[in-house]
Amino acid sequence: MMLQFKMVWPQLNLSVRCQSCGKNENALKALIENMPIKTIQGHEMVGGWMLRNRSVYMGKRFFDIPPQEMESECMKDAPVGRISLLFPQGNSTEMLVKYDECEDSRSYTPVADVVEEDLETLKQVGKLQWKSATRTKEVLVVEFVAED
Amino acid sequence: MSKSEFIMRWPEFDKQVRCRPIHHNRELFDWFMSNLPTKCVQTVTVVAGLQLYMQNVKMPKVECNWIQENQPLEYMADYPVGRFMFFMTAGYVANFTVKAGYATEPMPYPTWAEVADEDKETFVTVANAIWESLLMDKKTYHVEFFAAED
Amino acid sequence: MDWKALKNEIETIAAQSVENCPEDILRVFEYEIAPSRCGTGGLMMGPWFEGATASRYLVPYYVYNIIKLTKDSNLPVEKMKQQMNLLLPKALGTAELSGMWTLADLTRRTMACVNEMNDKDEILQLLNALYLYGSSINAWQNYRVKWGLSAAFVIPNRKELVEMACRADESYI
Repeated sequence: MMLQFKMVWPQLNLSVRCQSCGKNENALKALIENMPIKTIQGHEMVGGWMLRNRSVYMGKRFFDIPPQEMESECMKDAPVGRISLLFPQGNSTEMLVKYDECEDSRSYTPVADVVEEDLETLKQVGKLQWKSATRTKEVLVVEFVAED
Repeated sequence: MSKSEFIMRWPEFDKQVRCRPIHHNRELFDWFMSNLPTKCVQTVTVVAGLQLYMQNVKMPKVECNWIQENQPLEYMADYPVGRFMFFMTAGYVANFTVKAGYATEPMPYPTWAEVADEDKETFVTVANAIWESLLMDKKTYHVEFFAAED
Repeated sequence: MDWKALKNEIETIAAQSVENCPEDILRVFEYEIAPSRCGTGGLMMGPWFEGATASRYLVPYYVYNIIKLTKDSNLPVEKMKQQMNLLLPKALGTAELSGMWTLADLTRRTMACVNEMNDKDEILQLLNALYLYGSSINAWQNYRVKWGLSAAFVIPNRKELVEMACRADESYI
């Protein structure tokens, strides 16, 4: 199984490619096995410039990896493009995608990175979602699609 | 000193009301009485409806010795203005509210005291003034509880 | 670590918090100062929501539940520690990021202390002190949150819209 997937925003006609960051590959595998997943796109409002998906439904494979068995990472120190999980358990998880500077000193579960060539697209999506969150309230949906 | 009445007093308003036991949970009333005097900052609930809200009340003498789920409960929306209920009370920290107007929260709590009928008008007046302050003025009010003298 | 000294320190701060609004609350909720640079884009709604949630529904509520479960169900010390170590770290991280520094500091030190303790009653006394301070933070947040903000975004109801429409011609006089 290739540990890579795509994040697609159909309304924006934009997408980014994502691949394993080398950490928590069993968690990434569990996530990918649940794809395709569709959820409402959100934005972090406290920790910095991150896309935030607050309700990622994992309906196919129960996520049962204990928290103490997964590596964690302080968001402030993570590279731009990092994709991390928050409270993955059972049928759901939150997901954060860092697209610019963050002050967040809390720890998350890193699983993937947006590929370098797509980081500009990621930033573009981040700014559009920020505009939606703070002003227009336009609802954007994101889809996670596994790649062979 | 009477064991069946305590005073709820707001020093910044120079107002006070008398509070008495109700038909049930007398042991909760007695437990509260055994911890007086005490005081805290006075706040108001902002979701459930209009109630005065006591969130950081130290019970310095006798630790909580009852289990909420084992006590008779009443639904907040149904019980009368002036009635006290406990929640999130453990060890030597009490949290409680006193209903001061309408309440919509559909959950039951152990009720245990009530403002005396003759003092309810004063109580509601104070509660409304504190609501106004919480909403806009942000003046700080405290509330004190002490046993009534004979 | 001296648990009694920590308990006394927390209780002293808690006692001061009955009369006076804690500095963390004034700084974040009244003056909108965020030295941790929390608040994406410099906006404070996020820290207010998450700070209030962490300091009410996370730290004190978790501590309350640990005390209650221990008392009601006679939990052993190891279970108390397990719950504390599972529930509190993320909560204190959020409290700290949102500027509730004293609560975060006291929570962190309480956890370290409890992990070295073995007497249930002593642990309960220490957790109780933290719960009292957390309850004070909660009370002051309730006071200082700018509830009136919602009055700036009043949405007219149907009756009010009809009345506004009926009087629309008055604006041309």
